Amino acid sequence: MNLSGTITAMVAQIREGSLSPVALVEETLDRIARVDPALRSFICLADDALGPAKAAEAKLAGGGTVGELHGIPIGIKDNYLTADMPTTAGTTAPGATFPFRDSAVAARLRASGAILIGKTRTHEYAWGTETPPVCNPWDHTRIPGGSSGGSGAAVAAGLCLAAMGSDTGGSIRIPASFCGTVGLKPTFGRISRDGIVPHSWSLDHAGPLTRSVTDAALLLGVLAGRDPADPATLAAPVEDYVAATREPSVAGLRVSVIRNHFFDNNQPDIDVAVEDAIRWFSAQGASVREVRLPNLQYGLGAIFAIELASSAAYHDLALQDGRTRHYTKDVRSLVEMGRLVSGADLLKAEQFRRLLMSDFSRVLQEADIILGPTEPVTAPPIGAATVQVGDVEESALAATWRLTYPYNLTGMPAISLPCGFDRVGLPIGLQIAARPLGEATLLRAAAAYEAAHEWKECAPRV
Amino acid sequence: MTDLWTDVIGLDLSETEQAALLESYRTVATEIAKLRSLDLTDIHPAVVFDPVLPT
Repeated sequence: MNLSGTITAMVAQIREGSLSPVALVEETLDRIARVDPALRSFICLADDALGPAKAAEAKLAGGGTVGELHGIPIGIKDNYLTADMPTTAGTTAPGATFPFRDSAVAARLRASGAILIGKTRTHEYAWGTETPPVCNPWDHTRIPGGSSGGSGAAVAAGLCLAAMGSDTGGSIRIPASFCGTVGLKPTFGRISRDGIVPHSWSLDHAGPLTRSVTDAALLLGVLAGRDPADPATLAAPVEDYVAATREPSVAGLRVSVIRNHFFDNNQPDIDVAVEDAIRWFSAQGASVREVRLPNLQYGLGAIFAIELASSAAYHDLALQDGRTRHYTKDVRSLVEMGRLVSGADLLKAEQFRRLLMSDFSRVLQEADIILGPTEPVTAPPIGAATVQVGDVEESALAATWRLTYPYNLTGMPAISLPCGFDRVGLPIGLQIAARPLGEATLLRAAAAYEAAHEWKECAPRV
Repeated sequence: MTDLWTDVIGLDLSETEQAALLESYRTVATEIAKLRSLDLTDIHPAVVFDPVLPT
């Protein structure tokens, strides 16, 4: 069985009876058993994934109505609560316990027929971009990115057809870029975060990592919608996102490229790949306009203030009783630093956020999408505290979220999809952003680019 | 006497840990100082209070 197919194709085969959900889950578990001891992308597997697979098969045989993801094995990040698998949020600190119940996303996935095959590893409390001990399937000496690194590695290595991630400063798009998958961070509030261990309430987003843009659209359609349990969720209608990807055209599309910040200092191979992509959009009839947003220079201070302060608030009891001493050194430091951010700084960051949203609003009055790189670098070596970008040596954390966090501050939807490889064969991600609730436009443009290139067909040898 | 670290900041750290944390915070402080240099007096923060009672 070829596990490199797309969900949309496999669901069609399952529905017509040419693919057995039981066989699909058996093959998936077999592949995980063979490949994952080296990658370590899963922290645990479901005790009985074959049970729901058999039920899915029986339901089909009985002629019952089946959901959009019927019989599809999907991984879920270890910061989403699940009723049948433990949640650790990536921490081994004593006293950190999480309830056995389904998060809103887990419940919606199961209701659509998906089989939750296991929990994918996260950087501790989703606070980092390395996700130890997971390896990048393209090069086991490199990080998969994070914090949804287990999801990125598992999807890229064909260990599941999709996996859920969460994104506070880039944690879906960073591993997608480093591992060569699609990663979709929808509009803030589009997917419920109920039952996801919080990191930063006004920055956290839920979203899928997949092998194709259409699969990301399919999952978004299943997961989007209002949920009273997450007060940030939006009541806006859920569009037919898959239909949008079936009209893959960019002719007449208005594209903006923000030349400062996103192109200030990138690995040269990345600039080449992204400029090629921009030229492709132009050649297909899109109008490309270059703009500058000088206020982006203040964004790092703003996201630091919000994310650090939120983190200190969420971990407040652990800070008080000393449990944070058992966190990994980097995460402990980030949580403690939240205590150094003043209330005035936090509110100023929220004021800045409004300013930045006004800036992006002006850009999007004359553009439908914004194109740029997802990452300034390809996957750094495991353990590298710093990365060399051009002539500048900077901290790996600072570099890896530089181009993704602006869309967490603004809440705009953004997707990363493969757009090439660097000179040592590591994937490069193209980032496309759109106006809030502009997912259909975003996915249509991404699908058009994907369909015209063969990056989706490239898979790591594992 | 009020202790800055335990009573104001709320962290019970050794002097070595305090120094290490401040060193780590240096980059953050630089970025927040840039943010402080902006005049945002007339801009309402993105946080909007919602007076609807939770159900």
